Amino acid sequence: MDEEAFYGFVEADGPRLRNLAVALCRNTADADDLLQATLEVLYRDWVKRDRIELTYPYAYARKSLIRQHVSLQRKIRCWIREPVERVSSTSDPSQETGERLALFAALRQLPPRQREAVVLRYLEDMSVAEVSDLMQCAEGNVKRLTHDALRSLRRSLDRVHDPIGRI
Amino acid sequence: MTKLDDRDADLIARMRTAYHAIPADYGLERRSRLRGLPILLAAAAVTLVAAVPVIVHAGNASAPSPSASQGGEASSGPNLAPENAVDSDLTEALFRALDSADGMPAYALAVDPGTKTVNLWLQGEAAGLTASLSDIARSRGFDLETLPYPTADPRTTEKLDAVAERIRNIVRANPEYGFTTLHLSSPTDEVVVWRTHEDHDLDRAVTAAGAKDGVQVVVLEAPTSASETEVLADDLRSRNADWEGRGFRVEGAYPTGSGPVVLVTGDLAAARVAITDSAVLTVLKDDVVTPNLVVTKDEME
Repeated sequence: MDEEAFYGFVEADGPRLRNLAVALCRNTADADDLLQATLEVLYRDWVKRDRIELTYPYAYARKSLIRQHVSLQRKIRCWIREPVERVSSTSDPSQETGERLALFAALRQLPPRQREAVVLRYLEDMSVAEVSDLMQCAEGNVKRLTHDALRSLRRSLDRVHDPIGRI
Repeated sequence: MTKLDDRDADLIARMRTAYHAIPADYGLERRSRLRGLPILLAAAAVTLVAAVPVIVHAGNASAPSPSASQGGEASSGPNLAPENAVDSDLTEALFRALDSADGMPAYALAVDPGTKTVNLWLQGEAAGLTASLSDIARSRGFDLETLPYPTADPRTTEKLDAVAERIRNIVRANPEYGFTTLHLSSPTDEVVVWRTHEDHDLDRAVTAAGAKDGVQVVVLEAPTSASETEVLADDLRSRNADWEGRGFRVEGAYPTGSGPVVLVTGDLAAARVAITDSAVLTVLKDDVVTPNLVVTKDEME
């Protein structure tokens, strides 16, 4: 087993995977747990398969992370009410960071299935068929979930640029 | 399904730009609740800290995700120019100061070596902490700029809280409705209610509860309380090693119309205190509409 290669993979793609985990989860602690669980699985697979099937490890890890997340969502059915966070203004020089904070805050407000669907479809660039396979639901459901998610996100994110709000 | 319109396309483009501006996440090693492979992630994090110019860090579990002012796609990699190297002493000192702050406020932090600026998003008023961070930054030639941390709009929160309380009262008065969860969604002005079985009277009642304040109530199908209780029972049983040290064991749990009943053996009084204080039940008690959790003796003892 090429352990160095595994470490190299984590160094190179760890931040991308965590980014995905943060987008899927409702808080960073859960995202860290999800990433950790994914890396554990990946490490075991890496040992077992000696990279035979890991010619593109990021895709493999991403799939593993999403499956774990979907599985976890089925087990943990409690929703935790969290304070709602919103960026009230996004002035330079930190506009990009503000956008990111706003995006993740808006994603966290979505129901889990909508969040998964929109993250995979539009942020991870997966096809409807791929998302449907990973989420284990019909393609029509994926389309409905992404449509609903976009509608909610538009309302949330548009307001970020409207400090007065329309409450 | 209709084709994406221009507004959706613009929205997706904005989201993609924000999403793919991946921060060099110092928190990967520092904050994660690692259960295994700590060396692995620590090694990765150390490498990241050494290599990348921008660090952002979220302060607590409910804080927004870490993010950074670092632009570009992930594949473009971090800017490794020596002049952009992060002063790791600076970031360590800042994190230490933030970690030792009372109440652990939520925060995000970005260090920009290019402009010699530290951007800080901090929740709440903390003049003393800000001054101390500013001193730390200045001592290393950086300016500290504080930015408003994403916060709830109090008007929206109050409105949603009022609707939520109304819905809780409906549930308390009618435990047969079997609600399991209630979620407030301020940015979308919605209250999402998850119910365990279809009931049109219930749907009408909660919708009306929202309508009084102009809040949309979305009613969704929730998992059955039986399966939720099963998860709860599994979680509690998995802690039996700890519970036994306190004089009792959790044997199981079963659902009722008014909430789950947990069966224990041993010291019932200790069990009631310990289980009610445990994290999972805090969630159930405070944030989920599960009216009562009863801890009782297992008759099979």
